[in-house]
Amino acid sequence: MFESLMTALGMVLDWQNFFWSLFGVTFGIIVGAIPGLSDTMAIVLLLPFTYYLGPIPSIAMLMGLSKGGNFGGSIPAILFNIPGTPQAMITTFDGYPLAKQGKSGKALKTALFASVTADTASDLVLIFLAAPVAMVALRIGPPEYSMILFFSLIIISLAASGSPCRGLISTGIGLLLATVGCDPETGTLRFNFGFIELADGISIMPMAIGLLAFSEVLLQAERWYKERNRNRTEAVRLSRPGTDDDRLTPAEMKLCLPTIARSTLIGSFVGIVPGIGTTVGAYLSYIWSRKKSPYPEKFGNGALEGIAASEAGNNAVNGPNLVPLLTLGIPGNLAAALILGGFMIKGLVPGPQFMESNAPMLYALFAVLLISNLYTLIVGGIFVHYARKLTNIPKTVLFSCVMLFSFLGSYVNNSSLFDVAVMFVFGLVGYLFSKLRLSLPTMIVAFFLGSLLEHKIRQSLTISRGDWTIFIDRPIACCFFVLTVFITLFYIVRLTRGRKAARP
Amino acid sequence: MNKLLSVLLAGTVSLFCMGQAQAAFPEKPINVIVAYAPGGTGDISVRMLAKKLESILGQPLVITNKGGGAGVPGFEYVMKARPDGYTISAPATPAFSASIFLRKKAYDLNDMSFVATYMINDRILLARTDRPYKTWEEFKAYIKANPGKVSIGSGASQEAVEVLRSVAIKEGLDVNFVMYKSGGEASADLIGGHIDACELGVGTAGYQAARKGDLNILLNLGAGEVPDFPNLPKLHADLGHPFYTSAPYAFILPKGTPEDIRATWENAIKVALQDPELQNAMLKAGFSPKFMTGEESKAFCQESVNLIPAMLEFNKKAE
Repeated sequence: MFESLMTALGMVLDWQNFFWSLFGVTFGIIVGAIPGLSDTMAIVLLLPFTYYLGPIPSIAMLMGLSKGGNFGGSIPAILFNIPGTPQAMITTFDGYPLAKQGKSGKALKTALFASVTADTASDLVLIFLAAPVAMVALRIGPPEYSMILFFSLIIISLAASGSPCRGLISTGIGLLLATVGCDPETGTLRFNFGFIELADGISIMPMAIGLLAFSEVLLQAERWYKERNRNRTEAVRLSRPGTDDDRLTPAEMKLCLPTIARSTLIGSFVGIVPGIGTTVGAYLSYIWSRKKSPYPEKFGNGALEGIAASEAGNNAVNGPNLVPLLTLGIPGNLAAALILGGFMIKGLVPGPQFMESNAPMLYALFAVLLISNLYTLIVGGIFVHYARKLTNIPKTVLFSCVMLFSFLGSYVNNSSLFDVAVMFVFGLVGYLFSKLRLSLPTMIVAFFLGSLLEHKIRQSLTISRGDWTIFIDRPIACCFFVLTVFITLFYIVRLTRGRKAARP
Repeated sequence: MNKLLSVLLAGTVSLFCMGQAQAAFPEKPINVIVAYAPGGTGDISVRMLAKKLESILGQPLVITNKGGGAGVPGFEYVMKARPDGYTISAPATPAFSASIFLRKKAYDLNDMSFVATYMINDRILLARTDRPYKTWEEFKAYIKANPGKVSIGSGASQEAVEVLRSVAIKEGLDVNFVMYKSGGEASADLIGGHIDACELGVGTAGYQAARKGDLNILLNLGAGEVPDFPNLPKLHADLGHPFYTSAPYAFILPKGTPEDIRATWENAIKVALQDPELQNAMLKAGFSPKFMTGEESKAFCQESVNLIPAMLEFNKKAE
């Protein structure tokens, strides 16, 4: 053990690790901050670089990219109401209102503080609890999965937006869109309207870019058109340096800490279950924090805890998400799949063997994770300092750039023009959603949980030969089923009471 | 005299041409189109090979992932490209069965130019070591003793499931087939004990666990060799089952590519695979490197493409 640690120390203390980690974080933040380009794409772009680096520096760079990208997404989310990465969309709820109040500096610093704290905490979960976490992850089979997904969907539809009805409609549309593609069991095409490109379903990247970034361009264009004669546009004010609007006071930091702790817990749990993803972590954390808050009405109008919950929730997913990769060699998400590719090209095969035979390398890897967090704090701080000034860019210029990146971002993902068309169509859908006051984040989350849910339910029923009791036979599944029923009843009671009270 | 002159002239001209052809290709970077998302077996294996091919061909290989549509659109993109050797598809062959399963349309293998195979991706059947069955025969007996209770997962190969279904029909086995989206997802459920056995490609997490001895391999559903398990029974060759599934991962060029360019490619892959360092890296990752010429690859693919409709017919009849 001690010997491994010393070897690991030797491996870590190499200028290459520090340099490539810094490079990864910086590049990640830049790419994450550009709407349409995500951290996953940054990894794809830089993957060939890893051929020429040693294993630890290449992993340092890839981890840095992933962490930097995750934070970078919150910068445009706060400043322009456009999430740079899909997981930052929950940050827009409170980040943008704060920016409009001239508190963009405070909002960005809260996001950075929450991101780094939660990320570090979740890395510690990975380092010290990898083995037990892997055990829990293995206990989650198709029936457990189905019920966890069902539970998340119900919470997101009922509790996320002000109106449960609109939430359910948004979820329904998301689930319907998730059926496009291929029947998971028979492998035949369905609802693909004759496009073979849709055989794997609608690609999430172009869809998210369309819904979140391109639709915002349309909305802004409409607003500009309406207000063009009045000669004034609603501008985001710059927070003045040195004032309280620009920084995060110690009192506020303390206020956010319980939220961050809670969100880290939720995020880490979401991270254990592979495939659920960062956006869900952020969303569930946000909902819980609002529930717990003494002033829930402030959420959505610029509550610092809202930003803290979203950012902590999505960053906390990352640590545990690496657990199945390192313990079993099973990637928990796309970024992890790419990192697995990076490992394998180097001739390293993650999994039980890896833990035993490459212990020093594993420790070195953990150290590199923590170094990346430190860099995110430092580099992120520098970016935040200058990013505030971006609000001075005229909106006409800014949104032209966003439009350009929307096209670019949806193309480069699969190098396919078809995806650009998908992005365009979903831009219009997103515009309609905003007009109908339906919830876009709920729809997106429902979309990407939908295909997983269908898959897992059908797998469970194949195993049980159509016997639905499989969902309540097993303790973990049953637990989530009961929770779901309880929450649904709670909302029904509250709704009917509210209606009775409204009547004279 | 005239004759001699013409022979000499012809010789010079042909020498000149050869020299030119060698100097001419490749003279600019090459686009390798991987029709799958980055991070999978296909993508990783191509990237491993590309590094070596770059030094042999003397030009950078630009790998582009054109994922989506089970690999069909990415493959067809290359087939429509200019046949000059600068746009090549790898590992192209999974698109053949995908096209049959997705839209009931088989490719005519004469409409493309086969370069070479670099590895065989076989499908294998795995089970947990704590189960009462350690071999295929024991597993069959177990299924017969527990009709309808045994679930076999699939790491996302529709073809492999149909092969297994045909086995079940032929042997009178009553089993449930559970489809997964990826080998990783299926591996997790197999290791977690949620399914009784699972069909996976070599190089997946489940296969790595088997190499360490954490899982048993019961059967090879393909026709190739699995390097770490030389004594594994093969469904078709050893057990005499009429159907099998085997995907030779190959490089394929568009139809009409000049033969000398195709041959340059074929030779480059042959030389690359002779490199012990690459061989070693591939074996370490769990891949089975194997070289087959363009002709051999085409014949191999033709045979497996012909088998699929017969197999589907066989399975349908039984229902």
